[in-house]
Amino acid sequence: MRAADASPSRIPWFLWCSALAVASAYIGGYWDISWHRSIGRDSFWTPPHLGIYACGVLAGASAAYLIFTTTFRRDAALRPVSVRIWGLSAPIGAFLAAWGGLAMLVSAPFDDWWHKAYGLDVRIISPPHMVLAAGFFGIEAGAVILLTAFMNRADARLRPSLQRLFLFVGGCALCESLLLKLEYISRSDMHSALFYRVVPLGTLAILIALAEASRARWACTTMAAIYTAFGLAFLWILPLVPAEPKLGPVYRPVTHFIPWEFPLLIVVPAFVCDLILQRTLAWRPLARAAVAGLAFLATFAAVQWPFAVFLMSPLARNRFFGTAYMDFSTRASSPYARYVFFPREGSPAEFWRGLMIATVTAYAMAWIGLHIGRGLQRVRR
Amino acid sequence: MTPRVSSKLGAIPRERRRTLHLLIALLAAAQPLAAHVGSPDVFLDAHAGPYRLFVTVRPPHAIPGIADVEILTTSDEVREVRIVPLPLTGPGATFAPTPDVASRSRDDPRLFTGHLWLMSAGTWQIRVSATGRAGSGAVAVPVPTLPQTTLAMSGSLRAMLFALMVVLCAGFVSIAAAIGREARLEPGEAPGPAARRRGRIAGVVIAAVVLTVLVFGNRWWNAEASSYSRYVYKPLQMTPTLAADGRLRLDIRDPGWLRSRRVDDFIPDHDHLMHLFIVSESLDRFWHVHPQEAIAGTFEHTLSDVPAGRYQMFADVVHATGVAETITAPLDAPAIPPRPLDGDDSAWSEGLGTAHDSTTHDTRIVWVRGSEPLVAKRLTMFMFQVEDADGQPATDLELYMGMPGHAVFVRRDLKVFAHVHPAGSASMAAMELGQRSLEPTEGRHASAPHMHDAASQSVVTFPYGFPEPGEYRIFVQIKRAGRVETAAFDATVR
Repeated sequence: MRAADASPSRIPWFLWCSALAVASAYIGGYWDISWHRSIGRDSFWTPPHLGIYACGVLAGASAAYLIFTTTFRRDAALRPVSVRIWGLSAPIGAFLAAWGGLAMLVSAPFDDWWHKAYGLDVRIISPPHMVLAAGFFGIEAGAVILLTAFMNRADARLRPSLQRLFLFVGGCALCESLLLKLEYISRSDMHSALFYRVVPLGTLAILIALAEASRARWACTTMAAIYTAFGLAFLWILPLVPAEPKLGPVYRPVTHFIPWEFPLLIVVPAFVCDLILQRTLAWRPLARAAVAGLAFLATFAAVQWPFAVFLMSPLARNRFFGTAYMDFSTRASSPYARYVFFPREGSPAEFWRGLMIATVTAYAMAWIGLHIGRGLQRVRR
Repeated sequence: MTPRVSSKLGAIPRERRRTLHLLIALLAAAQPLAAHVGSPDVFLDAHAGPYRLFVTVRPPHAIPGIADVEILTTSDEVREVRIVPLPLTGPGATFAPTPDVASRSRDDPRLFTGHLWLMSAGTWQIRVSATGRAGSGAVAVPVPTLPQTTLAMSGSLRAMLFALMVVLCAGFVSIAAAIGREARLEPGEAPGPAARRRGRIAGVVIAAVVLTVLVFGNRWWNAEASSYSRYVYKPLQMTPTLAADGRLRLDIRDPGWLRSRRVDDFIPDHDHLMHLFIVSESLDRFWHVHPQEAIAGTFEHTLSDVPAGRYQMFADVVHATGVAETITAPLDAPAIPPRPLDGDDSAWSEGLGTAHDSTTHDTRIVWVRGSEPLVAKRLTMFMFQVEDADGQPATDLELYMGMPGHAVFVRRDLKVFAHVHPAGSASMAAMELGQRSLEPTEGRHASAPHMHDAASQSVVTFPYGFPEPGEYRIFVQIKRAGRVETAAFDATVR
């Protein structure tokens, strides 16, 4: 195989591999959650798991190829754009992806032991799952930095293609960041302050950082649209696939895959963020972050709050909005099944305190995103 | 002893001999602790419609977890066995998930195995449905799901994970330092002093971040472990108060486990709310009595003819939820005068008979066993033949509390205790709850475990597997001509 080119005329195969790995992790992760909501029981070899592992295999194999060819081949074209770590040479993204692959590997025996010690945790947030998530994010960050370096070095002909691939990866990263929070962002959470604290956390930083790094005019909107497209595709396609619970207790009959809910209306605040980022290029980051963060939170709340009311209404209990889909373990007496909001906060004071924290979070995330984005714009290797 | 055993095997009906051979061949791994004491596996001898099934369920150590299920049929006609787990009681018992088809063993076509997820603490049931040429039938097997002590991480796994954690942390810090040092450099440009400084700063900052993540990760892990330890099964506690005239009061206290557990919801288990077994430390004395509930959580009974000494009590109770518990407590007793035994109560002491021998002059109970040694974690059919004074099979056995017999397996160190019936090791009350939940779906095809088999047979059989090696004593109780007979047998388990 020919050594990788530092300034190629078309998108190199390993960048496609990275993008595919990121998408595979998200599709596998979403499907796995749907699997647990519909069938319940799984094994190592379920299709969603294979999708998740494909992420590690694709990213790990391409990263290993880049590291070994760049380190050991005399004519390695990527060596001038490489960094050196522990005697090895490769672009930074390759090292990050390899790190992510290793973290995914480490999570496997850890998770296995965790199940034996504390039971089969059918939840998203647990220490071994967070090691796995760190692996995903390592691979995602690797893909982003690898793409960024190529994009920053690319000529005008290749740059638009790389930019589109970059935004696709960014969209997948946005999806992945929200997937981790599903336990806190159901329709029954949407009138709580916790919901508005959780959504911007990490997600807004990713959105703004990647938008800045891409230098694309409508980057936030595009990434949010990719998230929405994925969410709608899952919502409309998964119920077409038959599935039955293989795990008790079963509180309601299920005959097909149960998707997650209608995607959040992130696309609206993302569009507003794009407008603000376009018009505040000359501003100091502190001011840009304040405006962008607050605008994101305000517009998100302005659209999602009333939309949540609609989602709770009988009008949304159809295939398009999908609020009638509930997993087999949802009790008829639960607030979720009764289409009412969870009382996450005990009092109005607690609610408003939560919203204050959400505001500070949104501001901090926007500021972090701007700094990371600016740093990514300078990445050359 | 061997000639007597072989002659007794020859006297056993052909079907029972076949069953014995099948069961001796069946291996069953066991784990410590459950509704009994130190004996968690469930063994059932039941009829699913026209088929007789021997079911072994090994509950998982941690909950949620995976239970191993083995079903041995006595009929070659069984074509398919399906198994499905669901809670024993409550709304979850209404809708069953899709059943699994149990795998038929290649070596023994009458053996079926499967693995099922049990998701919450309490008591679940595994519904076993058998289909074949003779039709179909189902049986519900109650399975206690009691989370055990948290599993410790092995030294090798700990070392491996620690090494990988160090590599991951060091790798992440190195990558961060490389980003700070070289990410912005033009192609081919070597890092200068400023770039190196940036790299060092980035490395230090990220090292601090990694350290913080590790500290908080460790706290989180500890919090999760602490949360699970609250979920680990904690048996009810019992405080005895014993007066000199033999009046015994047992105060039951909940040390805290599941919020749904109560001490005022006990249901009768083969006629009694509590089956209290009292044994001396050397197992040379044995009582099986039935205290009455005075007020919620307090039971009373008057003991009879107890020599002064230290005893161990095992109290079997069943909650309305189907959760069966064995409550243990030591008992320091003064000498208590004799008085007539009440109702179903019974007592035994070493002087009344020896192992493998009769309890009285006109009844002889013989343990019918093969020459194979007893091995831990192996399902065994314990068969006892009751003979009359002439050495002939007794024909006048009666049901004792609705059961052809009762067997109590106790290890000499008193760490293992199991109260078993011919239908199996699950509590009868839980079995009845399971059958009741089965009937709406299975209708007339649902059949109860054969807990009321005709007691006229002279052979009483108990399916059980010793959980661990050790020296055991087996107390066997039957009722003949209106009188409860008890015999004790010693067993060495490898």
